[in-house]
Amino acid sequence: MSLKPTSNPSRWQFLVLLLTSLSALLGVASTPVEARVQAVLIWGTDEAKPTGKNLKEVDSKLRDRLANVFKWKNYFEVNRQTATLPSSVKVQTIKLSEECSVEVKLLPENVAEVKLIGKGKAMVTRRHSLSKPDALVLAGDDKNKTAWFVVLNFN
Amino acid sequence: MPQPPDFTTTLDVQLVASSQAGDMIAFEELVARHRDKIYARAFSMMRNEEDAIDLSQEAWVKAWQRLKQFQGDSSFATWMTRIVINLCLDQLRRQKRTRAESIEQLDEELGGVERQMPVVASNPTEGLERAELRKRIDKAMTQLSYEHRTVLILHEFEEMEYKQIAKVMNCSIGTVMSRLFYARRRLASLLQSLKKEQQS
Amino acid sequence: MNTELKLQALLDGALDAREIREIEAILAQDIQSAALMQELKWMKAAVAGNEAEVKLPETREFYWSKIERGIAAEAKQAAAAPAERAWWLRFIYPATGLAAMVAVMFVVSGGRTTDGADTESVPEDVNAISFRSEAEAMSVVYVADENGTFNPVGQETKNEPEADK
Repeated sequence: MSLKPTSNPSRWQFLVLLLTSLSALLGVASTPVEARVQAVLIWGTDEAKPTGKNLKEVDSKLRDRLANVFKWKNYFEVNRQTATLPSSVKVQTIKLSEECSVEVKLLPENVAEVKLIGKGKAMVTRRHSLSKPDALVLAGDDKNKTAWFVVLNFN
Repeated sequence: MPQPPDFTTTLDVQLVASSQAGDMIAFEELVARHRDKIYARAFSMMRNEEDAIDLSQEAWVKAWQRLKQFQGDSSFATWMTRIVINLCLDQLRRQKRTRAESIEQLDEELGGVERQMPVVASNPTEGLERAELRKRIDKAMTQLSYEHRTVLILHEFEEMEYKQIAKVMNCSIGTVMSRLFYARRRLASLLQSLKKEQQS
Repeated sequence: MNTELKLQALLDGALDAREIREIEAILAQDIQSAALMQELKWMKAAVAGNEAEVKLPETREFYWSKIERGIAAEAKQAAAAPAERAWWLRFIYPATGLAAMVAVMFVVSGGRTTDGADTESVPEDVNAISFRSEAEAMSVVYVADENGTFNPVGQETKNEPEADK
C-alpha cells in the first residue's frame, strides 16, 4: 500500500501539528541552554583536623552554613569539581572520589536531575529546581560518627 | 506565595488544639518550643547524645499519635516530659537486661551501703559558682546507677512525689524512698571527693 | 520506715503531723541524725534548680524532618496493619496515611508551595530524609546509615600521615 500525500489537510490535522510544534518550542525554551555546576565533596567530623594531605578546611562561609544546619564542628574539603552542562549533552558525570560520583542532567522547566552514584549504584536521585538560589546538599552518615557531604551549586 | 504562620503570640493550648485537629505546622511549632527540654530530660537519663536524640524524637512521634488523649490536666510540656521519661525507662530496662551488673551496682540495689557511708560534715557545695555547681552535680550524677539517678531526677527536677515516681518506675514507695536516700548520700560523698580534688 | 528514711520524708514534706513531732524529737536528741539531716538538706538545696543546661545539637529543620518521617512511617504502618476491622476502616486508614504524607510534604517545604520540581527517589534499602533550610538556602537529602557503609571520602584520605605533605 502506498501513501498518498494529502493535498488538503483537515482542520484537526492542522491543529495537532500546531500544538505539537508549540509544545516542542516551549520545551526547548524552558530547558536551560547551559548551566554550570560546582560539586564539592566534604567530610564532617567533630575531631580536629586530620593529617591527610588531601584535606583542607572548607571556606568559612560554607562552613558556617553547614554548621548552622548540621551538628558537626569541622568540615574538610576532599575534592572540588566544576562542570558545564550544555543542554545538548544528555548526562554529565562528575567524579568526586573512587567510590563517589554525581550524574547531572538538565531537564525542561529549569530543573536538574542529580544522581548520586556510590559504588556504581544510584543511591539518591534528586530533581532540583534551578529557579531557587538553593544549594543542593546530598549527605549521609560516615564511619565513626562522621558524615560526608556533596554540595552542589548551580549557576 | 503564602507566608508561614507566625506563632509568636500563640499559646501552647492553642497549638495543641490545632495539632489535635491534624495541623502539623502547629505541632512543629510545639516541637520547636519544647525540643530542648525534652532532649535535655532524655540526655539526663540516658547520658548519651545519640540515645537522647533518638528517644526524644520517638517521644514526639508518640505524642502526635496520642494527642487526642491529652486533656490538658497538666501543661503540654509536663505531658511530653512524661512520655520521654517512660521511653527512657523502657530503654534503660532493656539495656540493663543485656548488661552485666557490677558488684557495686548489686550492692546499691540490695541497699544498706548508704548506712556505711560517713556523714559529710561540711557542705561540699558551699561557695561554688552556679555554673561550677551545675557541672559538678552533673558529673556526680553520671556516676549513679540509672535507678538512683532517675529517682533523683524525677524528685528534684520534675518535682514528682514518691507515689508518682513509684508508679512511673513500677516499684514500691519504699523502694523509691531508699533509692532516693542512697542517691542523695552518694551524691554528697561524690561532691565531697570533687571538692577535695579541686583543693589538692 | 526506719529513722533515716523518716528524716528524708520530713525533708520532702511527706510526713503527717504526728510523724513530724516524733522525728523532730529524735533530731533534738540524736547528734548523728541531726548531722545526717544536715547532709540531706545540703544535697536537696544543691540539686534543686541546678540541672545542667543541655541543648539539642541539631537544627530545627533537621530534627523535625526526622520526626515527620517517623510520623509518616507510623501512619503507613497503621494503614498496612492487617487487623480485623470494619470494612469502611479499610478506606479510612489509607486516606489518613495519605493525608499525613501530604501534610508531611507540605511542612517539609516550609509550608510553602513549590514548583513541584524538588523530589527525590532512593532504592528501597536506602534510608533517606529530605528537608530545606530556608535560612541557609539549602535543600538537603540525608542518607541515614548508622554503620556508615558508604564512604565516599575514603579511609585513606582521612588518615594519611603528615610526613606525606
